[in-house]
Amino acid sequence: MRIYIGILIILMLLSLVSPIQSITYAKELIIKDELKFEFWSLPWFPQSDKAAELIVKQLEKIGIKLELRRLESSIMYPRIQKFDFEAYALATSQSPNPLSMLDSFTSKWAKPDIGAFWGPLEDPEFDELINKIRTTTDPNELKRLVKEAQRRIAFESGFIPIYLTQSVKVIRAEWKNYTVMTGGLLEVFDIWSILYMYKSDKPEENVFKIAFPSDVLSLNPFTAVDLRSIWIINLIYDPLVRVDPEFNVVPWLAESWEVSDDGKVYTFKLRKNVKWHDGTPFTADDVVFTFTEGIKQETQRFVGLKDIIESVEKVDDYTVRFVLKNPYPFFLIDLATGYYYIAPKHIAGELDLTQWDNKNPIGTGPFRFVERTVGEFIVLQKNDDFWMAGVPKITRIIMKVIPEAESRFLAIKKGEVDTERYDTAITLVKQAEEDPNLNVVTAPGLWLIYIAFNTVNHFYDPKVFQAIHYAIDRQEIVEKANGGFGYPVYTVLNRFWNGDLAAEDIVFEYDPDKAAKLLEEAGWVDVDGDGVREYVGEKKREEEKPVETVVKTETVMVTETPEAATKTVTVVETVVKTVREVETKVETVTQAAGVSGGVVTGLIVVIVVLLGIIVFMASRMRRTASS
Amino acid sequence: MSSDIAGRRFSDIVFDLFSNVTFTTGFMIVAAVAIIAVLADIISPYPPLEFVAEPLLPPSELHPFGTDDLGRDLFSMTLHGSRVSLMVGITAAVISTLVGIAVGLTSGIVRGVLDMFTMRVIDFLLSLPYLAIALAILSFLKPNMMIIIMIIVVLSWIPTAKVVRAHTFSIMESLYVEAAKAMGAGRFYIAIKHILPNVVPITLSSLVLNVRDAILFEASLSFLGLGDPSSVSWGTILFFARRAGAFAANVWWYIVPPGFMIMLTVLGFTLMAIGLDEVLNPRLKKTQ
Repeated sequence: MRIYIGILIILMLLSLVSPIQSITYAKELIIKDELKFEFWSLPWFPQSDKAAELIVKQLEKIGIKLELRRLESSIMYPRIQKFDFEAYALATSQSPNPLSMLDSFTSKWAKPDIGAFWGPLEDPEFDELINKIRTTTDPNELKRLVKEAQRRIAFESGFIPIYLTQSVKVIRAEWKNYTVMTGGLLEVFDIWSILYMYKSDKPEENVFKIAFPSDVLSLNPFTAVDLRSIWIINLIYDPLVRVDPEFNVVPWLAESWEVSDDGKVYTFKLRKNVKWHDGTPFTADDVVFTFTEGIKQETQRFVGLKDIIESVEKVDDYTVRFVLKNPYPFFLIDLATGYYYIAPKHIAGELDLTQWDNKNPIGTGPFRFVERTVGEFIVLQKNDDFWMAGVPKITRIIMKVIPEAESRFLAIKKGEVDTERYDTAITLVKQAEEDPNLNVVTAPGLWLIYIAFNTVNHFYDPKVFQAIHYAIDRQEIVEKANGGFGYPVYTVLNRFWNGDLAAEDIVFEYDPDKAAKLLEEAGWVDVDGDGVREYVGEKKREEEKPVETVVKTETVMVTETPEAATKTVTVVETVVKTVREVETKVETVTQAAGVSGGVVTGLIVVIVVLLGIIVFMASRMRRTASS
Repeated sequence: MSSDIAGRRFSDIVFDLFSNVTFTTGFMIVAAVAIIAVLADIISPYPPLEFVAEPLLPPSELHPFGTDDLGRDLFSMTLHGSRVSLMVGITAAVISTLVGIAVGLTSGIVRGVLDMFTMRVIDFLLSLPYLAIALAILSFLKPNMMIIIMIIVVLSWIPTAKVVRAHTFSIMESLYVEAAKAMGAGRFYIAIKHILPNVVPITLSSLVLNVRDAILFEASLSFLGLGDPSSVSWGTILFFARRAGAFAANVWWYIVPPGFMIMLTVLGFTLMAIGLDEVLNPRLKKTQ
């Protein structure tokens, strides 16, 4: 008996001393032979494509091989949604509602064909945590739970955020009075700029032209999924509430609202002076129709509310009551940022909303639809009956499709358009800053650049993901991939979009040594010396061969002026000489100045030309001799 | 007899070729590019895909062609680019010409159902939009040099096959083939002994033109971002340039070197093809 107790105590002590903390992960590990992944990237999105190239190089250093492959979105997205991928780099748009990001890590998204993107955690406990967040009203408790969720995602998921872009927009200098808010000038949440901007006191001169990279896909407020379409819909239609530049919820079509004590009933008072563009008055019927039918017919924009809203009822013509299934403290911010636009019942009432082509949109918004030529332009005109007095100042908006980024920039420079909807290419910013006719407006951007691994059915080892976190030099990526216009981001939420809900205390400082150590702890060692780590089980680790290391010294030239350059060249040469003299077994990668390369190339050309001429003359002479 | 091509001695043809200005000029250009491609590792001052300096530096003594938007040395990239372009171009062209000769010759000699079948296949392939097909294939296969070469081969053996087939037909009608047939020569013997030597000079110039087309095709695929990402070719550099918005940003040193090299190489091969045609094609041969 004593022996047993003794053994038990020894075992307990041993478990305490054991160096590797045994963290239990909810999801089982999925291991592959070596850390080699096919890594997809979109060729036409420079902010993420350049980052992808840099990440490939950075991860190569710690023995993780990413094989870059560029794919068009039409091929890439469906395959990602079916979890038929290994890893990719992309950008995701941000929203002030923290749940829009957090929810996608719950188990319900782990099924193929449901439209999920990165790998969920697949842990019931985590799902419970998100559910708790959904229903918590106490702000401090909420903060704690959201941070806990972020911590779990950061340490356990295959989703690795890299940086938030800084929006850089170029706009003609004659435009005044715009608002700069997170997301960038004139992005969807920024209705304020479009309402208050003007360039002249004469109304007829306030024609605002904006260039789009491609045409909008849909003008149906129930089914539009791309932000380009929503940008136009946002001007024609109104939501119940909007966010102000600080992301506070403000009244819009709803004048005021009351929340019941249990947080389940929201009663909205609607504005009375609102008219549809065809003159019909706007009433509670339209709101009830939009939400009930939108949810019932499972339209893309409204189907997400299915689990939230129990019913929408009309109290009187200007009062609507929303009854929720559970208390949901994010309901108002969700209404304001979830692109829920109120559609007219008298037009769409009897239609199949998922198939509605909406060729002549009638809304309540600040602009009315005038005409559209598919693939070329859309014209909108100021709504003179808009319920808010004195706005908009712009009388006409013309959206023009200009596919090439450079053509768009040149069009702005020439004054053919006033601005463009996408960020201006970083290489063009300097030119824009020097041009007195152009203003460069920067703000925290809309896009979070991230990489994601397929943890559902391809590979799952949290230690490896942590190592990747540490091995990525986010600062270098921001500087090289986006000219310094961006902010390193370490967790799914960030302070620009989610304020103090973001877990700013989770930071993965660039530390390749730590990354390598983490990988070794997890059993990833480069056994065959090919630069890619293989998996060795716990037992195999003792047989590990010491890997022969070749020291590489690289002489990097920092200075760029000609005098300094020649100086560096001589320094390099002496360094190379001494290295050779000492005969250390150091492999030097000498980087002789480009001059020598240029001279050699020139010489080759000259020699070839001379030889050619000689051969030519010789053959001529021989031919004349023989004939 | 074995060193004869179309009844002329091989060395005579070589001297004829080099006394042709067009051919010699083209040959010099191609030779220079080829030597640069072979020596790329030695000449280039930096590894082509490493970030070695500040981004978008204009040409200087350290970086003769400047640097790109990620701080890579464009001179080294251009030198290494010639390697991929030439390798893909020449390999694809040689394979596709061999395939073309084999198919054309067989079809021309055997005739009948086989000829019918091959011609319908050729008609079908000719009706395909090449670039679109290549894009579709590359969406499913991982692009590496072998895949790209294979795609070019599949799409470019047709013109050679058609030319060879037509010539085989006309030669089969000629008197000496009749004579050989009368003396009991088999089809295979006639094909090797009489038709092939007459067909080769014609395919030589189409071989050279195939190289040119393959280089252009590879460049356009890479320009669309579908090239092999682990190596750099001229088309890839132009893709990077477009991604960086170099055209409007006045970063001319990003676009000019690869563009100029593509133009020069294509010009070289075209001149070679014209020269070859002038010397080898009896109808075009200048009267002496």
